[in-house]
Amino acid sequence: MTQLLQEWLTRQAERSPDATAVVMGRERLTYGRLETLSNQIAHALGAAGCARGDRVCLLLPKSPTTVASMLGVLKADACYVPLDTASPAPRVAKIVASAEPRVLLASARGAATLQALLEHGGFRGSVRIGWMDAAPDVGRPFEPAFTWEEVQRLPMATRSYENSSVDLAHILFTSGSTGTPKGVMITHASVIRFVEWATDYFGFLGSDRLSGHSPFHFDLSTLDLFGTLAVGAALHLVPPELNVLPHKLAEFIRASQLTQWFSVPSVLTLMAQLDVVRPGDFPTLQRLLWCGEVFPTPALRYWMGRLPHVAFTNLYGPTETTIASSYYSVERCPDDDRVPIPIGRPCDGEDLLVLDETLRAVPPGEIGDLYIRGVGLSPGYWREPDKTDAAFLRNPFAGDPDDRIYRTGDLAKVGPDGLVYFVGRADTQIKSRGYRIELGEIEAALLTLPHIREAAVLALPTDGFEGTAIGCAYVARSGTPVTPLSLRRELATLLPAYMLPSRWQAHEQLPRNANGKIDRRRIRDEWTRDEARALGPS
Amino acid sequence: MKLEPLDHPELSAVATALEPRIGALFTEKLQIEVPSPDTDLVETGLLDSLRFVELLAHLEETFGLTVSVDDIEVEHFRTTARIAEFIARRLPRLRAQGAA
Repeated sequence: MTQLLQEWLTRQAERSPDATAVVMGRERLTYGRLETLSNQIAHALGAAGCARGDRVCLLLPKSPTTVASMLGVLKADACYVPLDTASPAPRVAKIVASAEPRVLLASARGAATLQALLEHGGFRGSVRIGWMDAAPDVGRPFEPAFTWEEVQRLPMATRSYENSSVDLAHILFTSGSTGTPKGVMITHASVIRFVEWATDYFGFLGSDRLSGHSPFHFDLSTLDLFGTLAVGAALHLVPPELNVLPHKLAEFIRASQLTQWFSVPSVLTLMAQLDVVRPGDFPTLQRLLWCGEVFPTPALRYWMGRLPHVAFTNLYGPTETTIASSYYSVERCPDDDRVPIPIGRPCDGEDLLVLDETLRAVPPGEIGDLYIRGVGLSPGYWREPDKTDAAFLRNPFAGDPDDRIYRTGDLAKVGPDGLVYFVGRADTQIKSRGYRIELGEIEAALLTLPHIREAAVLALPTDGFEGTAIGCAYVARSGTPVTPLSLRRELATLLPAYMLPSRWQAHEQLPRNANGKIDRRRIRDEWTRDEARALGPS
Repeated sequence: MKLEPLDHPELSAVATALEPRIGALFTEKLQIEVPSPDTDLVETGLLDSLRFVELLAHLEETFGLTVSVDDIEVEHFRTTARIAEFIARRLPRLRAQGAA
């Protein structure tokens, strides 16, 4: 029985030290090397003062070495906090300030961000820095606690660890509605339970070659990594720049001879739009999984038509309940573009509940709030007890006070087939290209700009492949020369690219409802109507 | 991968002349301000797959080209200067002169 995630690696390293564990481009780590390298990193972290319960932030690009760092952190009894190296420094600073790490691991790719963190006081207390770059003096803006060179001289033997399965493995920060990202705490046990379900249900084997498409700050990557280690398979990290060109992703699947692909649907939709998949393409591929948002049925039909030899499975679940909580395998290609794909039935150890506002089950077919219960539930948000209490409730159907349910904010219904169907969102969180975005975080950032008096950020439906577009209605301060272009540029210094509005509308003033609040619905309705009129035949 | 050098002097001149038009296309059509012709669009996240599809459509429309995606490498689209070279190679007038 596996208690800690790193045990999977150690077991595979003993069994087949020379097998490939993780590969990206020319960098490849065998199980043996991943084991010893992560041991060395654990020794370095321990010497830098890391102890049980500590956090280690990873300001590192996607690479096999970063995988070794993640495992090294776990072996040092700490939990890792992956940071997005492409995110603007002010946002990274908020996450680092909240995580209060003992150590931050960085390399040349994150040097500019690190420099900004050091200069603008993103560090509270004393954060020690581990420099994980093979090139020692490339853009290193400080004196580190240890360097990559020193790590590689440390003992390769196991460092004993003392943490338990209910300790945190990682904290993943997601968009927060008030402008500050919130950290979702995930335990070893929650990941292990989901990965055990997945390896069993999908039948992962040591001969598998799994895709590593999602970045490490995205929770889908947890299945990629630990699903690989659990069975001794090979993880093929997808170089992020291939994401720009859908046909390069197709080439990658072919060249790497992947047996499994797992990503957000937007990638698959674009590949369908550009028609980069040939009939019977990817002969080694066995499974295609997606999670994170709705996969439009027309694109799914394209994929199923192209790849009759592949099994297609929709996974559903927010970060707060660990990777996914329900699944639905699409048995046969839908006949019609309008057929909705259910989010299915719960994975082992999980429950999906569709409840009304008094927390009573709604009858089948009726729409209610979707709650999740079971082994995947996070202990809550990092150092945010109020937000935790608002989203994680005591299970009204159980006497045990530790039995909790998580309010997903999704609306759902149970179909006549007994399967659960996603219907929409109950709040202002949206999914765009698989990213979970709180519109409130964008608004909060906009309102910090000197030229903006008022702003409302809205989700605008599109009929294209973009899914939901982010629209911004704004009122500029009088006498200031504000354009969408200048706003976008200023906002880009505060928010990552995927959070930037793609549509803009200048207003004299924003309409308000009877309570004096900005009437977002009216803005959105008028905006979509105006656009429809502009495009329409009349 | 390696890009073939822009050996034809006229081709290189055309690419240089085209670059501001590519930059303007980013500003006006995609609402993206590119700091310089050598800004790495991929690394900075300014160009992602959705915008790439949009960009391709605008390039085809503006320059009257049909581009097969199979011919495109990431390196061709890394900077606006590179995009200008990519377009310059495909302009029919130059191709007729044997430059492409």
